[in-house]
Amino acid sequence: MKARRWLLGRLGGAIATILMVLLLNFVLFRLMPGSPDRALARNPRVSAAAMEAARVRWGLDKPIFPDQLIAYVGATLKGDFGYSVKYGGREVTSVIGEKIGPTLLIVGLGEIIALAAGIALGAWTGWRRGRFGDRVGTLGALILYSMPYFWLGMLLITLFATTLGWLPTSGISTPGGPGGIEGAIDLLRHAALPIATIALGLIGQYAILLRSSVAESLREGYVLTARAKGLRDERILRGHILPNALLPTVTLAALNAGYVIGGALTVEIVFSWPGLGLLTQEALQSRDYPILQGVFLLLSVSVVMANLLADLLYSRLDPRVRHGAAR
Amino acid sequence: MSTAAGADHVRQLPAGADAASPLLEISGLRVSFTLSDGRRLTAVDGINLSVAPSEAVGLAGESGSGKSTVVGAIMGLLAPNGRIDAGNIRYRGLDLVAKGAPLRRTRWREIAVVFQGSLVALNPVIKVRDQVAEAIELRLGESAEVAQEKAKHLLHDVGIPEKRLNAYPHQLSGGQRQRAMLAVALSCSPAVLIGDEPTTALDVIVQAQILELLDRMRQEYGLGLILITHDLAVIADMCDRVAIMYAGRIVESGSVKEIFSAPRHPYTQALLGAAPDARAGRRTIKVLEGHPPDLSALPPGCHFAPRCPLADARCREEDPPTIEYADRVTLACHRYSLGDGKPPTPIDAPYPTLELGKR
Amino acid sequence: MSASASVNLSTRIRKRVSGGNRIALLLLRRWDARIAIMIVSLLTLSGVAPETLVGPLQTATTATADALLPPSGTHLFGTDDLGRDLLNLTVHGARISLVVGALSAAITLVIGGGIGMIAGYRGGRVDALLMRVADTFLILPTFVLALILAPILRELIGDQTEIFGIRTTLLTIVAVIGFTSWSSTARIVRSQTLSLRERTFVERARLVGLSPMRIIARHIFPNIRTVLVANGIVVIAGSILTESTLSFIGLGDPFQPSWGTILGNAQSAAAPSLGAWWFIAAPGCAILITVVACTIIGNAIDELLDRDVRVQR
Repeated sequence: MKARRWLLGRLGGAIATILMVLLLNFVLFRLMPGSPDRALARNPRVSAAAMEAARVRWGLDKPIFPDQLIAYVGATLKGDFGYSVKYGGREVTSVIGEKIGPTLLIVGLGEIIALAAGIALGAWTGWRRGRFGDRVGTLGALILYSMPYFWLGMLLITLFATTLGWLPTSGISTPGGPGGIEGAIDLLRHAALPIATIALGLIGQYAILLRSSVAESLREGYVLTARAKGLRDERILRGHILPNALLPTVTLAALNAGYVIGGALTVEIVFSWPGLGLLTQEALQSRDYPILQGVFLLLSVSVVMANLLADLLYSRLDPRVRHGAAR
Repeated sequence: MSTAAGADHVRQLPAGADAASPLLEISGLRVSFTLSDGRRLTAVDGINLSVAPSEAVGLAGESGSGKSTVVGAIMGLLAPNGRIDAGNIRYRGLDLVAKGAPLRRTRWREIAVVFQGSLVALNPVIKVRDQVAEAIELRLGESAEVAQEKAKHLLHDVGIPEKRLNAYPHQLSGGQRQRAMLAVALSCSPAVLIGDEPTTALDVIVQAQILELLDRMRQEYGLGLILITHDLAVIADMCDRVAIMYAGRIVESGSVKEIFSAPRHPYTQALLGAAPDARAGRRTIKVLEGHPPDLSALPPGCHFAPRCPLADARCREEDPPTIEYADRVTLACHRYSLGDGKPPTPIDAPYPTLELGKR
Repeated sequence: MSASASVNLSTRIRKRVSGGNRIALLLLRRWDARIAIMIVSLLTLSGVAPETLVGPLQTATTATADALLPPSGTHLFGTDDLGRDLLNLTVHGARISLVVGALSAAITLVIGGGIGMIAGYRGGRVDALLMRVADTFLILPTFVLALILAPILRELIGDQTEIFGIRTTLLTIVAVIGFTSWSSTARIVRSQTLSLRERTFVERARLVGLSPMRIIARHIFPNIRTVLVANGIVVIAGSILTESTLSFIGLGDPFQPSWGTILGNAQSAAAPSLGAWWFIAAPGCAILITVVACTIIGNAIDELLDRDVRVQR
């Protein structure tokens, strides 16, 4: 009962956050000098029909509040994010839709690798806290965490692509390259460095979070019990400490996802990887605000969802939350 | 049924141990810790303690007197800044202090602990049944099914209802948790059980139930029981022998009957006189002034001297030797001498007293 | 009675005065914090007086060397694609990066500290609403928000003017970072305020009838100052990172280049695929060292404060 109320609270919070994002987006839109169709009017390639559709959609002949706000929220909820300036008035959703795949590929794989490596590094340094290995590992994690993603990417290109020549410097595929399995290998060769960049950048964060959580767990009574039981170190770490330490780490990592995504976008710029990051930079250069807002909205909703998912996971995995005991 | 986990009655002693040697024997144990500013603190200073099968020995003293450090030393689980400087801990002749001591073999299989505060001593995200089964599976090498089955029997044995078998620690009451902790401790049928303040956080009625259970288990399994507590009433009810600790040293030890009827050391007298005794109708309590000393800055001489009404110049300069009398009574106090070797007549220390319940 | 009260008061004052100093002294005892403080001091020095160290900022017209020279005796850090000396650029970049970082952190602390103290002190609905907003900002990809806000703000106020010698392009970055990164500060300050609110001296002040603003200013703020400093140093690190990322994408000012701007230039000049590692190394290492040093100092203060609290308990 208590657990259900807790979950409903989380769900309500997520919805409130998304509504707040919509409001923020609306205000930003109106903040711009001139009316929103001015941006469209600047582009000669936008057809008169598209202009008219935009005017109707935004309800520009009606007052800002509440009519325009309602029109905006209604349209957005229906999946209508407006029209891109740069892409000749194409729908924002379709432009963004094309770019999600490549971004998901490198961010997803990078995230998985980083989670595995970060958990391993964090568990190890936390277990050996205060000792030499911990000092070195923690400093390494801090350095990785403090590196701007784009800089890390530039370094990797210089070393592995330019100097050693092992991997391509940029792009998603070799122009006019083969298809089929060879094409997939070509794609992976192009994706390797962007994925490595994102993974390396994230490892530090996960390692630091888990280390402090593991180091804290070491002081707990159940660890003393496990030691007294004569269990091997590895068993104590895996069987007793990690199940306790992993949960708060997952939640904290989800909370940080928004911050991470922003940095990950810059990786695409460095590698000319045709995803949301590159799209964002192009949109920024051509002041294509509808695209920028679409990206912001999409990423915000993803991050809110990720947090909700982490909460759900937490409540499934931690018996104390599952049974509604105090956290 | 009650012998579910203890079914393998023929104990397999670890290699190097011999059944003829005493069960557990601590002699001259000294443990110190390095503080963050580099000073050393001697928490346990040359204590002797032993326990035989089916025997219950109480170790009593205020918090900070070094009782729990003794547990750490026996289990080889001192904090990283702790060190055993001198002395021996032998299990059936097996040296547990030496470098490369077979702790991995003795922990839990031979010596197990019921820690205080089962809410923290049990892992919050693992079912109690699995916490009982874990050591059976990993330390005794049983299959998962056998371990689960044994765990079920053990939990039943300590009085956990059937429907709570799959509960997590937080779903049990304080008394049930302590019962479960006892089942965890008994999971490998150890020969020695150490209770480190096992009933401190519990209310009186639950405390009595747990103590009764502990006593039953001791008789059933022939356990050597070391009971560590600040509560002398518990020791009086449960133990055969008792050792009184003050500032890292055992100041007096002997049979419970002997010590409780004729306390000789001034500190023991204060401890026994500090609580009103409802049964004896005693309402006057002795008042022990001052605080236990700072272990990192101990003055020379008897550690109790600053608070002792009988202390003189010699007490403040010279460490009192531990004298061993007949009937296994030991005493470390300058006021007593060996004499004819029989336990001496107590000297009453003149503590200030307080009358309770006077209206 | 009055004598003991005055003794009490004076020890309390002494404690408060020495609190910050004591932390500073303890900080100097740790070798990692000592090195970090030394690094930050050196960087601040180069940020304060870049001209005396490496001469005036080189531009495309004043640069004399050849393009993309690797490090040598004359150009310790090499040259960029326009023949500018990278040592010169990096030292001058320190000023921009540090000033923008510090100003953004200041705004972050003012907004976050203010909201945190008000939410913690008022409690109830005000608290719930403010923390709802803070949580939203905590979760959101605020970096993307900053990306949108910066150009909008620039269109609103124009980008040709200077305030205190800082061009408005940079000031918009300062404002945008401050606006988007206050939430974690607010959370920390709020929880501190909540616990302070229950303390006797605050209760007494309330009974005496001091206004909430006065209580916050006189009793709450002095007690969270050290926490704010610890958080502020970490916030500076974060601001420098965000600034460098925004500048890298092209939102910086070409006339007042920060480390991020230099790296952006390196990217446009295709330095990675030309193998011009020095073009990337100097400004990047500057960012990395600054952020690591600030994080170490912030964490060290945090740990000392933590231990302080634990000792008091």
